[in-house]
Amino acid sequence: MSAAQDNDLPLLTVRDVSRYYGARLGCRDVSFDLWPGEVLGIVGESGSGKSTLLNCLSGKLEPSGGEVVYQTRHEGALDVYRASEARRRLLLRTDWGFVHQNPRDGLRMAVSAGANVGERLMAVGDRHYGNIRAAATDWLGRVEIAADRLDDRPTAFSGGMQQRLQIARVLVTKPRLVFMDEPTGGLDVSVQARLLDLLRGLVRDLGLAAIVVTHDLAVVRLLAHRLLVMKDGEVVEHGLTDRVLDDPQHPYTQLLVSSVLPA
Amino acid sequence: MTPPAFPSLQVDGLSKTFTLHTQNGARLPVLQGMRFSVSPGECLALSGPSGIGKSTVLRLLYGNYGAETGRMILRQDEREIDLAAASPREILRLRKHTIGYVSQFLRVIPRVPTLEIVADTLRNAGFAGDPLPPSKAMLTRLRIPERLWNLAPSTFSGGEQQRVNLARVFVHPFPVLLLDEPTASLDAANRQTVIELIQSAWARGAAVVGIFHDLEVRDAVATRLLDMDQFRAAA
Repeated sequence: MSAAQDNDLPLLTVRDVSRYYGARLGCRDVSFDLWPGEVLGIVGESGSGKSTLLNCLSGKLEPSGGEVVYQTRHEGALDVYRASEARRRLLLRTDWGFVHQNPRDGLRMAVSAGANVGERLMAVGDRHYGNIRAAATDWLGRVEIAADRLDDRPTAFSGGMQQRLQIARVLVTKPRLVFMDEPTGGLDVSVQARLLDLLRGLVRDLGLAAIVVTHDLAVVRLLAHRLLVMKDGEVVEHGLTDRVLDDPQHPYTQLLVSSVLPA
Repeated sequence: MTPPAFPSLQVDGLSKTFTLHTQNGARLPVLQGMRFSVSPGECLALSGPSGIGKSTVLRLLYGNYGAETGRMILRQDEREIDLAAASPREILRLRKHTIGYVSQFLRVIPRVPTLEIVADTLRNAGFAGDPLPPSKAMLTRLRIPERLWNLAPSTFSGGEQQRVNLARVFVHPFPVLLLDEPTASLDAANRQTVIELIQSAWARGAAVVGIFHDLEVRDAVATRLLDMDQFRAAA
């Protein structure tokens, strides 16, 4: 079973990652392993350092200390911040994907929905117009956007549709690891539910590994296998999602869990 | 796939105290120095009044709660895993293949149809073949009407939800079963079906730990009783 062999090595190894902004702490001494197909949730209130951490993990923000090592498909382990800028950019275009909270940060608003998806394929070397258009149509379908919207610009889409388009744009290149920053933030509750169902299905069907930052415990209960709880830049609790939520140990996690209003 | 070897469980020195930081650090000791073992083909019934920690034991074994002290050794295929120290990844793998847990209340991913909930157990366990026929058979056996199969169970009655909960666990021959009042809201016919399912589970070699308030059910399925009073933690 090749899948089992692939699973023997962590996809991402994070050791003692810290990031300071001058004297101010962003995040400190974060370490964990992420395996293929695993979804890790990072929760905490605003200012807890979770977005800083996500940026450090995803190659966007160089940590002040520590290392992020990615297990590539064919070339062994890659120390993300010791690799060249070009190598890191290639990684971000091919093996990795990033879903922004605000779809406008992940989409090009001036080009059509189809072009938004097709562009990512062209960036990894696909040149056949028919293939690109077919892949774009297929992906719009998978994120439940009707084929007749292919030539519309995202400015004509609702917030939920924009977010689904962003997800199609990220996943079309078949990344192995996806970073998501509050993927359901800013959406109506009913739209959130639909997006969550979609994400859960895609992550599972594609066997994606993902790191999801959110302040919404319902999102991680649904998507994440494991949780990191952050407070004041540090990880205060780490473990199996249902254990962290049902048997929280740290005072802050207990406060977080007990603060959720029952539906 | 080779059939799973029969497992055994050995629990020793298991303790659990809840510390409620949001309520002035109140400490609730529940279990102290608990020990027991379950062999393949046994059904151990935890007995004692409510609040004594029976459900807590099952949640500790399932990894839903973290043990404070002690070991919970699962022996299978000449491997030993201490459930008290297992990594999240290991626990998740065991939940897919090895340990089935019927919780007191159905907790499922919202909006997923009943038939898919049951079939997912088989998919997760790596079932070779179409998971739908055995899933339908188990739902039928537990008398969930076919018109409900494509609906999510959130609006079902208590008894129907309980039976969905049972179907999604009993559809796979889990080598270890943890059962928290599996017949609490069932009518006589369904209760009899569940008794038969549990009996055939330990008869095929599963190690079963359960909580059965219904004495008739307990007498029918349990091969041994464990009085929890001896492990009551001093408050």
